[in-house]
Amino acid sequence: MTVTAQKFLVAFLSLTLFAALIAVGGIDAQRRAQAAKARQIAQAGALDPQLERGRMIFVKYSCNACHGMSGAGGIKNLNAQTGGEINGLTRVSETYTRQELMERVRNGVPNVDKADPTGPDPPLRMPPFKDLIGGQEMDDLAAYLFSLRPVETSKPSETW
Amino acid sequence: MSTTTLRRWLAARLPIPPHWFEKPLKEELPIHLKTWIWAFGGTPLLFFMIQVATGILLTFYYVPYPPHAYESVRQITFGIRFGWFVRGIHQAASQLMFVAVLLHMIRVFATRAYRAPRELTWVFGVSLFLLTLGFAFTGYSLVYDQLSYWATTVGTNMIAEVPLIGKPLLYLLRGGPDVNPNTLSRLYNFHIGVVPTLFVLLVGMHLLLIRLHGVAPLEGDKRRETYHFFPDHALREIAVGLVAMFAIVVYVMLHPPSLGERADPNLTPPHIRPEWYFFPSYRWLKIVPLQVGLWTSVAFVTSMLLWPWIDAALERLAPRRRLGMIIGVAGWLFTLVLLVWEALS
Amino acid sequence: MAQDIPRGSGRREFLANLVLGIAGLLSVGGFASRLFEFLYPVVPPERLIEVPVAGRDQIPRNGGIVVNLPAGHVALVDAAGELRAFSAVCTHLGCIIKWQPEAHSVWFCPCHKGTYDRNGHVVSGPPPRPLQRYEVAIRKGKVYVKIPYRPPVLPA
Repeated sequence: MTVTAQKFLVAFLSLTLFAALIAVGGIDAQRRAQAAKARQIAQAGALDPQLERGRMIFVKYSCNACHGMSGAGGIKNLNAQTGGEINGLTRVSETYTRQELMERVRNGVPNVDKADPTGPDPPLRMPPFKDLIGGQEMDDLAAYLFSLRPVETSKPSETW
Repeated sequence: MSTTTLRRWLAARLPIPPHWFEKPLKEELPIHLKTWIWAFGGTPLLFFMIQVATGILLTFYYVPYPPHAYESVRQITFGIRFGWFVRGIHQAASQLMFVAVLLHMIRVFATRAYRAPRELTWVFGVSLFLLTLGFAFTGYSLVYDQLSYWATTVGTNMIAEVPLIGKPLLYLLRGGPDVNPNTLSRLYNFHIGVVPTLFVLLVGMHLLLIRLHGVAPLEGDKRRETYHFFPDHALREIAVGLVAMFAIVVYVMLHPPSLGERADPNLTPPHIRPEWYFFPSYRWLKIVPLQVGLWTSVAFVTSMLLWPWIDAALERLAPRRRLGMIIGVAGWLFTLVLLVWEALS
Repeated sequence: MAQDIPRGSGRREFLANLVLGIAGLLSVGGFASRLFEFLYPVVPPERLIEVPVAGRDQIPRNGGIVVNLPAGHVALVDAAGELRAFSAVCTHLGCIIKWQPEAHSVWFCPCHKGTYDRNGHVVSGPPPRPLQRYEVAIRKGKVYVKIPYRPPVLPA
């Protein structure tokens, strides 16, 4: 290959790289829009003191460690009937009454239903919180959970 | 102000002898290098430079303090503009750097370019390979999600098994007996301070030796022609680099980086595994008792470092029997078997 | 003897150099702009929010207090029964002012000894502008002030 031809080749490759970087800009805007929507859910109660307290309690007792930040879910629980993951909490306001929700937090979930009955037991279970959370804290937590709403975001790809 | 005046101004203040520029650029390379396959030699350095650039950018947002580490990585991945892009390139280029270094080592081994008087170049090269492993291990520990935290705990625990100096070495690495906030600071410091400094020094010496010795002649190639490094070979290397960059950018666009759940020191996840380049040692240590595994690994690394002399001795022992080549290929295949075995299990 | 690389004709060579130069600049520029955006912080817009700052009876007649909130610093002063609210941030270099009534001033800034009066105007010292005035509302004995609030910059 002549030097001149090589120069044209390098120029062409640089231009394709430039084009790819333009596309990257579009993708970035998309991703951040999705993440901002998810964050809005988390901060929905930022100026409502009870929801803010509830959010603190959610983090204080490490609920987010299993149910995801802002109850978004996504943490794997092998063979769990809830889609192989610990369920998110963004729909609890549609599924439970406040009383039912508080009962569930108090008692925990000692047996998680299996997706495949012949498969292994799901390793992660919800502990009971009745000795840890009560009174005002329980009220605030329930108010917070009831304020959570689902958000359409694409699932992040598998960790490699 | 003409260019001649400017040049004279510069030449008076930076009295660099012109042949310092001309010599490397006009360097005459043996003709066997004049194909696309031989243009890949610069890729390990290219990927290293990409790592330095993206790494420095990441340090603008990463916080090496356990309560904040995971969150800072999460912000980079999902919040900061082009954070996913910078982190993605950093991850992708680290994998590619490994592949590039391995391919380079294979090429040098296959062409026996390590023979006298170039043994030191080889020793520095193998040290660079070990430093690359060090980069990978320390870098992975910084993410602080479940996999990262536990892979680091297991990995550093192994060091304690080294007789005599194991425990003190572990305490030194961890900044204490258990994994504690000091540990992350130390691993971070190794990753951005100690290892890069050593790496740059060794790369400098490696390249200097290559420049001083000249490119190693290819066994069996009788051609005497040469060609210039610049612009011919240089442009080929640049083209290869651009293709690599394009591949990385497209890969990161299609597979942006993600994050596992936050590290929980009280809960070991069911499947911990190191990164793929550690699979061979991981599998080996599962097969043999720990002490045996450790000592054989030490022997393996030592023989890699001393290979030019071992190969020379084998050559004297059985001239033209290619014992060195056979042992080398066997060793490489064995490593591959271990790698694939671990990968499939 | 080095192989002489056949070079293209003068014009072709020039074109190759030009295209190479432009392409190189574009791709380097592409990266540079992405990386600049990576580094430059995203600053959310400021907006006004109304926050409760104190009980009305916490500010005695002709008295004053400084309230430090997560959202901002507010200086409240009573002038013959009328309640006024200002930013408690000194307009000189950003220190927080203190209530320190003197002959002509009521607010004092410890950093460079600037002073302000009950209207927020500068009495002495280096401050270049009066204190920023905020809207006050009193409901059911609580004082509410409308302050400018900017959500935290990422990473929070």
